[in-house]
Amino acid sequence: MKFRLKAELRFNNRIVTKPLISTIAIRENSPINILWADINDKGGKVLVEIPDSRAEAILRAFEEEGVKVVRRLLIEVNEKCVNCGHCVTLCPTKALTLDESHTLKVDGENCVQCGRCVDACPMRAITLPP
Amino acid sequence: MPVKRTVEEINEKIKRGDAVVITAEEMVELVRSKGPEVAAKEVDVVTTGTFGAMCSSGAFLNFGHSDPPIKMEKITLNGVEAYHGNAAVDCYLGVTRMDPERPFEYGGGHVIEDLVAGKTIHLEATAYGTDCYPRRHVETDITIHDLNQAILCNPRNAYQRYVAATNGRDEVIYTYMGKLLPDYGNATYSGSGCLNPLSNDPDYETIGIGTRIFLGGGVGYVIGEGTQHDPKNGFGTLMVKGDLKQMNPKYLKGASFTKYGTSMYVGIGVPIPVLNVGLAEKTGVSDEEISTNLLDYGVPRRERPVLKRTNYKELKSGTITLEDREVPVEALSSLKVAREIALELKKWIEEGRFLLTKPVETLPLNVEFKPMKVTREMPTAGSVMVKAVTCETQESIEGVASKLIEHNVNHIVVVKEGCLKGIVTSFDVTKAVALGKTRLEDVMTRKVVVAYPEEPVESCVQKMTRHDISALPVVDRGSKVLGIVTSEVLTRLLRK
Repeated sequence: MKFRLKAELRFNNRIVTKPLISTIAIRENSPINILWADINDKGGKVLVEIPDSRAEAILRAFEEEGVKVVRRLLIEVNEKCVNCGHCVTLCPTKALTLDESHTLKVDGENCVQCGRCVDACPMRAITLPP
Repeated sequence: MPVKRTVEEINEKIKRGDAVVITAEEMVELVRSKGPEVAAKEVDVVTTGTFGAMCSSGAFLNFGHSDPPIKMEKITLNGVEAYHGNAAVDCYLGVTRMDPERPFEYGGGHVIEDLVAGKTIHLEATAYGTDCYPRRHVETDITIHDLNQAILCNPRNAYQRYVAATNGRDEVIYTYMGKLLPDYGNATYSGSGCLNPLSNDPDYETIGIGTRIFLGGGVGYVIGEGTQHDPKNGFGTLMVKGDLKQMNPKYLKGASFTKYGTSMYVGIGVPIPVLNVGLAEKTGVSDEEISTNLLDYGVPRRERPVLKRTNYKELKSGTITLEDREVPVEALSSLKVAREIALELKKWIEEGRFLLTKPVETLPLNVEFKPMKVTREMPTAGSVMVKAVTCETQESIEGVASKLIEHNVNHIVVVKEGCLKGIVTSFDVTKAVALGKTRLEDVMTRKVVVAYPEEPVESCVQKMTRHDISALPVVDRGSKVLGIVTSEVLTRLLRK
């Protein structure tokens, strides 16, 4: 099973207490991998990984329950990057790598938005979309 | 017949457009496949390059006079203070000085990059006013074109090689060698190995005062050995200068190191004339032949422990082996840009736009890099610690309470066979009584912030402030408890 699609699920404070992820995982008969979760008084954000084959159905199910689904690249490296590679040593998921010519390659799909690289970049070239 | 060339002969060839120029990386391959004799015959010039954080950098700027004129006393450029200890409108802007409004994010290096990029810079200066310079305040917006001189002048650049860094502490540390993860989680290094300028001329036969170089995308000059020049250990450095107005922001970049400070990445390329077979062999130096040490930056002392001997081949491979572990390692400097610099300089020479110079005097080989003479020694955790009052994990709360009273202390270190297991404070005991807890293990802190004996007292104070605690058990690397540093001990130290 390919787990490629990552999406951020945003719950408002009215639905944050509902067991939505497990409910949908059972109903859709599909595993949902939680990469991280952040719950505060405004609601919650959960980064999940979903098998590609079931992605559309599962995300629709979340939307029907009032969850805001955000699908996008989770990391951006801008033109200030000088390809030093410091971030590569900090990335736990190989979302950031250097190729043979020492050019930084970004694989947004691997990023779990841990943020370790952001404050380490001497050029301040890395951003995680809010 | 052994090859012998002079710089003048090479320059004639450059002018004719038939000088053979290759980069130091290409030279490694050539020397490896054909040997130094053939390489010396075939090649006239080897170009080098490096692009990394060089904190000992800055620029002399002259703004011209305002009317009425001012003898600047305090001056800021985009909020970054410049040093003004010279004549009325001269200053030196250092790259590590930060804008207090944007600490660790924007500093002198960023101002220099912005100047070179042609951006508008906000200048503000104050003065006490004199009979000849009556003005006491000036505020204006300028660009590099408005300045009379903008001279990059860096006291120490282009280290021949540098150490690699990792972190043995149990917490993330932020250093000038970047962000280092706990427990040897990653490693960093600096320099471009076989492309490093001074590594290609380790006996300084061709580099010295007056050597024309690629500096920040423009032409610059070596003006002598850099500060902390350490030739005997293979850590030579360069002092360089060049006209900022000719430079390119691609090769001068302000840098931000979280919780450390700002700096600037400087691009430097030095051409090495292949005057003889010896220089062909030296410029053929490979990454593997340039060795350096991997140090534990977790130990905040001048002599950081050497964890292993390594070389630039291993460092460039992406992983470094540390005992039985594979630690991810990458540069903080940019190998990609270093290569571009060596190629750019090669192009300049091939196109006849850049001629080589013979130095007036080569870099010294016999100077030493001494440590600071400190006449007032700074205390360490080991020198100020007191004996720790300890107990075992099975100790009762009452037992702990009576020890606190008996020894008149606020902290008891929990040990098992002399090794650290936890810490319990008088507050923890009070809490245990209030909540009806009877077992020490329910109230003690297990994740203890510790100090090592060689750690400076200042670093202990930082740890205590950061974690909002009032004592640090002092342990050796095997967690054996040696003593304790408490806020009472530190207060007593201050009173002395």
